[in-house]
Amino acid sequence: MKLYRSLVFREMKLSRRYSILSMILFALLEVFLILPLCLPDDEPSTAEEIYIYAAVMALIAAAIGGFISGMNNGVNKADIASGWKRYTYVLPATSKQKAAADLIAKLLSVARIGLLLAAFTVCVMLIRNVFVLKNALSVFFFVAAVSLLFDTVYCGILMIAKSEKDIKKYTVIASATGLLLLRFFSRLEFGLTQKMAGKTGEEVMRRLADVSGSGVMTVTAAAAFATVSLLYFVVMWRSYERREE
Amino acid sequence: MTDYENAVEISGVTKKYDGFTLDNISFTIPKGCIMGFIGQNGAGKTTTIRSMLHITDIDSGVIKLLGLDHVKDETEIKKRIAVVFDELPFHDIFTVKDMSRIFKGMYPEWDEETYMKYTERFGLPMKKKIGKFSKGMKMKLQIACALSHNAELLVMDEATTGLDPVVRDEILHIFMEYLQDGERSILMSSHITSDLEKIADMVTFIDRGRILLSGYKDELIEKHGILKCDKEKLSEIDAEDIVSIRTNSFGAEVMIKDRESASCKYREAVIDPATLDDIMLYYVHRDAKEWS
Repeated sequence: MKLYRSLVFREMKLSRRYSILSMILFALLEVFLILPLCLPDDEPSTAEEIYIYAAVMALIAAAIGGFISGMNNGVNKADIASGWKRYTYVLPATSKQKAAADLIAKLLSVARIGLLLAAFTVCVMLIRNVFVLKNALSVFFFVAAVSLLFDTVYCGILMIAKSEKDIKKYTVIASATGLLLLRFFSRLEFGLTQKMAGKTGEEVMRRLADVSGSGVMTVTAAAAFATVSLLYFVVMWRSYERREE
Repeated sequence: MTDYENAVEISGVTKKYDGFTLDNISFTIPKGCIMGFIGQNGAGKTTTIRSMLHITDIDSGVIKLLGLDHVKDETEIKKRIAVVFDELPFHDIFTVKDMSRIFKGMYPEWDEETYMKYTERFGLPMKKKIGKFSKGMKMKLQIACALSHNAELLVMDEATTGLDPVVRDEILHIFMEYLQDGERSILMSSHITSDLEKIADMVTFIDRGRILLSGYKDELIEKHGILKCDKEKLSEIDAEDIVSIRTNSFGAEVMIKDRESASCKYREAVIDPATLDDIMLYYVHRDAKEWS
């Protein structure tokens, strides 16, 4: 346990600036951009309309939060540049322990943004008396999973780099792979858009609120996130196992 | 904890690269010894150390550290060894205090008191970021970390290179103190032979991926000698006694493999003692035989 505490402390300290900045950015977005849109206006609305609107706002917040939380925090790159990656080979931590520590640090950063998102849904509940945590969590987990998948690919490729010299080359390769992945996801989105074609904006919003608010969706999104987290662990573990030439 | 005679046992290790081969190298470091690992830049010192530490895989051979297999027992070995590289591998944003927090959890035998003692002795500020340290301070920090978990084997790869003589002397003095109980061993790779002449018990000399010499430093220095003579007299010296010959406008200097027997054989010649630097230099030119 002490070993994990050490490894996670190191990673958290290295990514502290990034974490604080991303949390501030997300909190500002929530408080000044999204939350004001949830405030009651003069037009009379039905309970369902309020729910759908609040749910969609929560989805936007969750998507931004999920994206930020799964993103790469630059620690791997800094580890290669400083020589720490090579140094870890002479430390008693095993590859699995190092990968697990990376995952814990990642999950902690997801949890931090997740907490801010939960706080946001509490605010929405206090303002509009609707419960949208389930909706928010579904999208948050799903987007965090996609974002983490990008990071997994990026880290997996970057970890082949052995020195500062290699970083540039592998960053380019990783970015190109990321773009390909993005293309794949944009095709999925295109499929979704086609499915929604012909429906009014209100219908689309209602459908989104319904789907995201179903327990099944929340569980599925959480499972997808857990699967990508596992994949992240495996990729990191294998990359720590890899020896230099 | 295993009982062992040799802190390091390297036997028949080969590692092939494009353009360079670490060729069937073997040497041992008995427990309690300081081994100086010398050779030119690119001779294979770092490759040997990286192979030993399993930073890189080897093609063939056996490596045992503290009596344990370097791959199978890697985690156990790494709890009991310390490594100092030529460059500080810690991030600039950390402080001396942070490093203690990081290593405390990694090494079961991390001794906070010893670490504090070393940092105080080295005059390292606790709260200053490492990025603002001088090269000497960075090296001292790396050494403080290496010496604070009761490591039985200290491996140093060009650790004193680039440091001024005062800092180098201070560091060498600390290594000598560290070895006093006879249970600890040091492998110190360097091309600054004067440092090794000061502290090493044994010396291994590597050149172009091959071990040329390995043994007790005093014996090696005692055995070798530089015979000075006129160029015309060179033909009188047996080829098998010669490592290589350095010629200049005044005559020739011949590195002799066995000073004692040479002084009997060539009674009229002057044979000076050789330094580690001389031995390295003459062995490097062994293929050319005559050089200037």
